[in-house]
Amino acid sequence: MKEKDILKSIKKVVQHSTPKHIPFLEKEIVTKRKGKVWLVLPFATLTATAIVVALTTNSMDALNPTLLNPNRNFLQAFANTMVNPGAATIITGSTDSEIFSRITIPNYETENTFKVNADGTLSLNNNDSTAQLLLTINQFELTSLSQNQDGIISDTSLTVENQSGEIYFDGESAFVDLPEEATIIPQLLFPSANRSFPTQFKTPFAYSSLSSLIMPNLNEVNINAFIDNFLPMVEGLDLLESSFSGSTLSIRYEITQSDLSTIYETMILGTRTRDELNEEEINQLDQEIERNLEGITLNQFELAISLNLLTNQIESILVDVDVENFYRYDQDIPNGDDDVPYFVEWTYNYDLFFTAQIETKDSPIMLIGPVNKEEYELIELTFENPHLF
Amino acid sequence: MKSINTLLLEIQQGNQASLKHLYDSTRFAVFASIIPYLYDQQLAEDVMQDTYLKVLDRIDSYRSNENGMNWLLTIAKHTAFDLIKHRKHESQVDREVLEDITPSDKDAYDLASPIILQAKKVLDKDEQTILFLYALGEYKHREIAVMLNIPIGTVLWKYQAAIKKMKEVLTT
Repeated sequence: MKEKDILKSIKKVVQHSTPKHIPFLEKEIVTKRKGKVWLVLPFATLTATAIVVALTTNSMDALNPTLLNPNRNFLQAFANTMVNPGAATIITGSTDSEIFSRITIPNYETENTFKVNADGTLSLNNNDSTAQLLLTINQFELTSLSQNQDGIISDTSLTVENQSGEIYFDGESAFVDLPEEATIIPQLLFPSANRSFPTQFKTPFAYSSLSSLIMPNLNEVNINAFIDNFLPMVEGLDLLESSFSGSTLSIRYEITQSDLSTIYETMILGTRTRDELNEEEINQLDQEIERNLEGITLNQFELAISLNLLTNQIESILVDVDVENFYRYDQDIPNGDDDVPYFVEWTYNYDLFFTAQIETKDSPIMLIGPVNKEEYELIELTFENPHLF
Repeated sequence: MKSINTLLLEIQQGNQASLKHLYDSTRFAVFASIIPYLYDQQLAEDVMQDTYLKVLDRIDSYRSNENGMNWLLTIAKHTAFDLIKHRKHESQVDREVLEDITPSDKDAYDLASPIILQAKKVLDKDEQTILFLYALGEYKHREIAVMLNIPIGTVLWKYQAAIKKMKEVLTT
């Protein structure tokens, strides 16, 4: 039974069985006034509970030494999942997210709120030289509400259901084959007057370079070095919770604004460290981090991961992100009036959460926007490209 | 539409019509939140009635900076506990009956419907509450977290676990 069917069935039962009326609400009510009643906290109960919790925790730790270093467990499972994705990995994911954007230019302002509700499955068959990805969209629902400064509201709603797309690699080239109906999804998410989305196109990347973009080049030899190099970054995050049940370790992290620079630094440096850089490289690194984080406010970032300690692989991931991105883009207008500055203020608030049974993280910096069947354009998601919306 | 907090403040001021509005706005969520603790339609309806009576009774204790929905659901939960305590014998009977019920024996749309019975068997109380509230389609996970006064991560985690268990049990 699918998730949406389960939810629908439950909704029907709850709505059907909830009383429509309550008899006393139909009568005149005399409101009784009472004095404040202060509850006395049962300290003895609280103390007893605390002792039980402490004892339970201690005994859990004694029984499960793996809990002592959940960060290492996480990285080990993360590395194993990437190194050894298996012949057929299935990732089932869903998101129920909100994206808010405001674009301001002189004398004009427009606001958009996009709600995205989607669930689908990505099946990966990976052999050494060929790979095939089958994307099944069970449901993709996008609703957008936009309002400009004149108060004109436009409402768009779109639902795409039960569509399958295929990404396959033939030799060194990757091909994407999308169903006709599904192409409306990228059109809505990345609209542009000059862009169309054909149902089939060839990507410019060789499979080998794509796979290295998606995952670090890990193997049995360097896996421990990867863990040791990345552990300081993971240890720098706030571990909110770790619990153990059966063979499953569940851990939850929080990332805060102050963690971002460390994360970016590690992402940029990879396995190198700051100590290995000369003065000029350190300056470049600091500028790069500052540029990347400019205008970003991280309101919330929680990452919850479920690991199977028997197979040492990631079973599921939950990501909850609430982040704002503000950018002001100043530009001279050719032949324009110098007294009137031209600028674009661009604010995005992404309120997303995504759940997946298995997830491999990529670096979503570059998008491939096909122009027609033969041509494509690369869309770089940087501050300098405010043309996506 | 008025917020729950506004309606509660209006009831505090003696506006009786607001209680009816409060009921209309919250009845599904309140009912969804008490299902995990009850096994019987009649008992659930009694809890609903008692919950809104208690809202009137305790309205003076509501503070404007409190989350109204959380305040209301807490009352509903305690009311369910109280009623179960007072009808311990009946509740025990219900539990025994539940174990004997086969899904096809019952109305598809009451609390003994197959989907609810399966949820009660495989999910813990928190997972049920989160799943039932989310199934209504009116609240996002983030809003449920505020309503139940628990972290969003916990809500997401428990929801995902609940769906996984339900898929498994409904597939087998």
